[in-house]
Amino acid sequence: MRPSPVLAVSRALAWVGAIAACCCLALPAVAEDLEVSISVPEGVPLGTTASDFSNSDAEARGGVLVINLSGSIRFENLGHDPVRGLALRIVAGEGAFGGLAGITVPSLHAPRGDGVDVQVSLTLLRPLPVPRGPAVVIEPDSVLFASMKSAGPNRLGAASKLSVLETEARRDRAFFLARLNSGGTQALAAEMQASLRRQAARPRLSVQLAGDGPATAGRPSDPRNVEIAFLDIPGAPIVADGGTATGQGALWEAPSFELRNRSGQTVNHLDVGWLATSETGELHSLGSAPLAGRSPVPPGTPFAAEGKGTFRVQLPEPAKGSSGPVSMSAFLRSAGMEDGTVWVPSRHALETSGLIDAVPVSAEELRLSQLYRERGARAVSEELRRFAAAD
Amino acid sequence: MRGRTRHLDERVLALVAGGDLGRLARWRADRHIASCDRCRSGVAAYSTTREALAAEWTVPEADFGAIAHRARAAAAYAPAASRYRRRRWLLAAAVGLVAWMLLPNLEDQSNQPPELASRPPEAASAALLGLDGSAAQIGDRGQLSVRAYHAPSGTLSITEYYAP
Repeated sequence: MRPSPVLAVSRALAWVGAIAACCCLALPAVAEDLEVSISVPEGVPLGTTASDFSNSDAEARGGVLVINLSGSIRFENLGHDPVRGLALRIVAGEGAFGGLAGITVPSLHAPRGDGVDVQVSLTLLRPLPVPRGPAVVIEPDSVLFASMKSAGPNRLGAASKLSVLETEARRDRAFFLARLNSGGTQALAAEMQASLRRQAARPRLSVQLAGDGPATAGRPSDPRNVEIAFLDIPGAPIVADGGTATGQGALWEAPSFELRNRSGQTVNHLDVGWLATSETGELHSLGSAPLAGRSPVPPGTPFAAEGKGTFRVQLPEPAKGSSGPVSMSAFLRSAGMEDGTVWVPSRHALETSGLIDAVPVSAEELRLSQLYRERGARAVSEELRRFAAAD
Repeated sequence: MRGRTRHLDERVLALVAGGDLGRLARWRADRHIASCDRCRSGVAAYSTTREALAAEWTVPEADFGAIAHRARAAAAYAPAASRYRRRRWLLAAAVGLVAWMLLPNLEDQSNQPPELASRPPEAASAALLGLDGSAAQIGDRGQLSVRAYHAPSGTLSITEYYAP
């Protein structure tokens, strides 16, 4: 018997409703069942003892899945050398814009059996459709130990970063400990307050990745070249014989340098600080100058370090609306030497060159000053003595 | 004991500088400060810092969604001690009440910059603000990095966003 047209329409509507309901149910399933995989690479003496990402979520926006990753991981040190720093590599969509991130935690002191806690709070993008498997993969990329040795695949180049952070931390802890020993808690409190004042007074600006592909913001249309002044810090193993940056207005390509290794040994890695001066004469730190070709540099060899990437540099309010940076300068921020040591500018060099007011305080100084704000000078003093016993 | 100077502790110095002490405590502190150079200079140092911070520290634009995420993560991260906490809530409330009565004028923390002041949603294309109010810094590989302090553990973490 042939069904009536009313029944056929009703059936069709029921099917459409059922399909729509399935779609509606399927979307939140993507959002709620966010699988986060934590894997420890071979050779890394860490074990995962706990993790919780239940507060993470994800939602589809256009052609991407926006993943709000929020949680924490506790690793245990299974090795004999105390852990001093840890860098995680976090991947949602390798090769995709916003799909790769890293979290670095410096200034740790975790002997064998102790836990290392890492808080994760970031947003990643993953192109749709999402293939099967975990939405996010987290793995320790590099672990730095108290002996300054490191372990891990180092795919983000975090090993050198961790060793620089640890060297800066030791420099700053020694400085504050000397103040504590000579002037007591009051002198330490005065230094912490001076640090907070410096942080508050430091000029702010906004930096964005402008991208360098054809579909992004593109390159400056009428660029100009500016010479870059390179600060010669006494004792720095690398000096510059020249440097230029190309850009226009707020859009600038990373600078290139003619560098020379004037030390007696090979430099394995280096980091050049990048500064911009506004029309009002204020010096702003942009961070590091991203350089291509990061191979070791033998002693005495001049070499060209090409900049990579284009950046949008927005100067803060007083100079807003101006034509962007009027001049640029640079300085050697760190250098990893052949013998395993790391060169960083001394506190004295930072003070005498005026860099201390322009560049952000070190991660350790920032941590200690926050500790001071939260818990006072006595807590900072205890922290300094704890590390002094271990360093 | 007479003849020995007992200086004001650091917390009291900070509260004096901020005008945040109760009337009786303020009177006692003023009496001491009038005759103590060391504490007077301590109060002066706090006052200078307070003025500098008030004048120059603008609260950075914050993504409250990210802060909520962090708060939830911190809550989830806390050890499973809820039963213990339930048993002790009366004691905690009593201690809190006493503390509130004794220290009624503690500095209001609400004007301090939020713990995490970053704007990660658009990842590398967004303007990111770091903990110290500074903008994101460019990394040696062209990545953008921001720093955040986690108060309970006293650790600092650096989050980096990489372009492909």
